[in-house]
Amino acid sequence: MKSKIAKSVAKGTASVLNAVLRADANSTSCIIMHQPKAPKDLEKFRRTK
Amino acid sequence: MIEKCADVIAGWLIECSAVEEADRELYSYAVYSAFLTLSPLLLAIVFGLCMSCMKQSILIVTPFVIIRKFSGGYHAKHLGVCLFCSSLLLFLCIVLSFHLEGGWQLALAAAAAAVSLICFSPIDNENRVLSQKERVRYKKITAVLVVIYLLLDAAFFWFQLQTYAVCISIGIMLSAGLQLPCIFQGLAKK
Repeated sequence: MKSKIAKSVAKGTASVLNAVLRADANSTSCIIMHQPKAPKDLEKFRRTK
Repeated sequence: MIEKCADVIAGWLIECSAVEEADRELYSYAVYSAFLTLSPLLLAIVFGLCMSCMKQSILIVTPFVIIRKFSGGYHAKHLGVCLFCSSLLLFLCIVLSFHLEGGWQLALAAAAAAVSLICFSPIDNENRVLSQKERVRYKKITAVLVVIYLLLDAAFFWFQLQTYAVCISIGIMLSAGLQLPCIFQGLAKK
C-alpha cells in the first residue's frame, strides 16, 4: 500500500518536473541569478530544434 | 547542499520507476531548476509577510520573474552568492517602492528600461547557450511581455493605482538592470 502511494507520488513529481524541463528548455534561463549547467538531454524538451 | 537534495530526489524517482536511470542527471537538473524557479516567489512571500506588504512584493517580483525567464541577464557563478544578492535586491526594491511616487520621471525610466530589454535581449549564459532560432524567438517574446507590462503600468497609473504602477515599473527596471553587467562586459570585450 505504502509503495503504491510512493509510486503515485513519484509519478506525479516526475510529471511536474517534466513541465519544469519543458519551461526551461523553451526559455532563455532560470529566473534567478544563477544558471546551472544544462544537461544535453534538455534538448529533447525544446520546441524549436 | 541543494545539489545533493536534487540528486536524492532524482534517485528516489528512479527507485519508484517514475523515470529511467539514464535520465538521472536530467531530473536532478529539473529539481534544481524548480527550486531556482520558485525561490524568487518564496522570497517575495517571506519579505511580504515580514514587511506587511504582500501586494507590493508580489507585484514587483511577477514582471521580473516572467520577463527574466526570456530576457536572460547576469548570472552569479555560485548559488549562495545568487541567493544573497537576489534577497538583497528584492528587499531594496520593496523599500524603494515605499518611497517612489508615480509620475513622468518613473514612466520615463520604465520606458528606457523597456527599450533596453527589447534591444539587448536575450542574453544567454555559458551554461545554457541559445541557438540563433531561439534568440529570435525569445527576443520577440521579451518584446511582447515588456509591452504588455508597460500597458499594465500605464493602466494602473491612469486609474490612480500609484502603488501598483510603481511596483510594475520597478519589476521592469530590475530585469533591465540585471542585464547591465553582461552588456558592459560585452562592450568591454569589443
